[in-house]
Amino acid sequence: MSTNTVNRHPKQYDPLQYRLKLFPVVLAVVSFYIFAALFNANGIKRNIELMKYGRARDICLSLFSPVASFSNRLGLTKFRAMIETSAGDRIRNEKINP
Amino acid sequence: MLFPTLIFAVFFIIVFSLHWVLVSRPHLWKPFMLGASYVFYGWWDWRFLGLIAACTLASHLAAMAIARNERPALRRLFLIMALVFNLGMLGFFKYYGFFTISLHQLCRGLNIPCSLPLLDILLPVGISFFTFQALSYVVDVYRRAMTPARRIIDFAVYLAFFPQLVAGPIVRARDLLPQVAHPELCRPMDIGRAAGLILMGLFKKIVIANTLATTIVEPVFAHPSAYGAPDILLGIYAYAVQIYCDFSAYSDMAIGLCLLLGFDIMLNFNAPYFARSLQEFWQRWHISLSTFIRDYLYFPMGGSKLSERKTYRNLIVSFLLAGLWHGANWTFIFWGLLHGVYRAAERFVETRMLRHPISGPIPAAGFWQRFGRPFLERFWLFHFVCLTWFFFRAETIQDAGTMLGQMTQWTKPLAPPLLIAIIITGFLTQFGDGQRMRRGWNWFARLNPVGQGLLAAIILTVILALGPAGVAPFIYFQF
Repeated sequence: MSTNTVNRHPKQYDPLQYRLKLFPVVLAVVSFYIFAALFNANGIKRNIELMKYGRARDICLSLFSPVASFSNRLGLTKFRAMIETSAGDRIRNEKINP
Repeated sequence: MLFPTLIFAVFFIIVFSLHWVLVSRPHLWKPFMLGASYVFYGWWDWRFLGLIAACTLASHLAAMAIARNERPALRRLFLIMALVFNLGMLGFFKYYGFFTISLHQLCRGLNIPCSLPLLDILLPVGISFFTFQALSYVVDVYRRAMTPARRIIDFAVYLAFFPQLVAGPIVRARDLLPQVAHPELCRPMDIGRAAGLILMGLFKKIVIANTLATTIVEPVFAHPSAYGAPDILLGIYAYAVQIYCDFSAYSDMAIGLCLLLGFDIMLNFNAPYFARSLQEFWQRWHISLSTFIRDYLYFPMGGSKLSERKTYRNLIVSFLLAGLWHGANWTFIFWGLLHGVYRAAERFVETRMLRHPISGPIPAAGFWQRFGRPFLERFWLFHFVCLTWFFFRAETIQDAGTMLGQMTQWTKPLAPPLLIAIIITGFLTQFGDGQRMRRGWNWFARLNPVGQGLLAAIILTVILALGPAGVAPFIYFQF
């Protein structure tokens, strides 16, 4: 027995075409992770510092601290800090008070 | 493990990498994806993994037994066994406490001794979603709409597939099962759409839903007597936008993550507050649930093929059960009842008084027909839906009544303009769903991959900088 529903994917499997299509997607996702880590390095470091004390926290901190200091040296973390102080804090502090 | 968290980001990049390495070898990919999905689910509470495994095993065995038997009585017996198992599990974990408490209250009111044990049962995350998916599989096999999965692991991967496991969409087996059974045929699809949906989902959840929850909805619903009509009204508008942004954000992210993994799942929302009738609202809101209820409950009861009276009964019962699906509380049942009665009334008006259905095509004549009437219908329907949200959000029906009572107290509005702007922005995000964003996604897809990564990272950073600290759980996790 096999599933009888319509398969929406093309039936042929061409490894070369497959890799050619996959490569840009993987590159985009990896670039996204790298840039996101650099722009948000201080926030990620804060999150790691909030983890429970133990080996996992130590490993994460030792892995991520160089990234955070590199990002700070390049000034990339200023982008998020600038938005936080200019708009984010205002939104967070708004409240409907009776 | 919540989508907008660091731990999920780490989990996803590992799964994403290994997925594309293993996808051309299904015999390795399937155990890997099943393991990854179980890790994702077990992150909340590993004890509930047994539940999803039992649901998988029972449903698959029932489906196999149904497919192998030609005798109608036996087929029906296996179907009933699967229904009893799945609905029994859902009923025990989700409704046992509610029904025992309600029964105790009823017995006390009637002076009848009653001694059902009260158990403190933890509700497993996403149980309503995966049991419904399992039911759709068994029922479709029974109806001969599909044949069962060739191997149990195919069905297990389908049922536990992590992007849509805990808060939907409720993807039918006949849509997703063929894709997970042949992962080697999946392609990285539509990076523009995937990125657009994920970023839009993050924006809706972090900036809109979380902000509205902490700044307006929780204060107003916690102390309604402290506020007057304008703020209560704003509070319910804020909740309407919050629940839409919260739930549709999860669906958007689930669809986007699936696309990145090469799978295509259904859209769950399509500008619901733009509906002109309640029927149209349910064609646009939580589409996977409304179509599930239509296909597996409303139609089997007879739908609209029987007498008028039975059609109204079917509508009300369907909506009542849709309400009950959302949670074990009288507020949800009342919410479902309101929707059911309104929909029945809408049908009555359509069939008896109007020549054209309310949500039908707009005749191309005159300003009133083209703009005035649709606007008024949308305005009216939105406010009816908001009225029902009072009951959906409140702890008790009395609380909802208190809030509605406060609507008669006119006071000076307290809400700052910035919060009103956030509500309006959240309302407008519904037009960012589906095909309307296609142009933006296509533009994004034409950028070079590093540019795509950079732009997406910049947008993410802006979202994180604007949202409140921490991530609240999604509202629909409790259902």
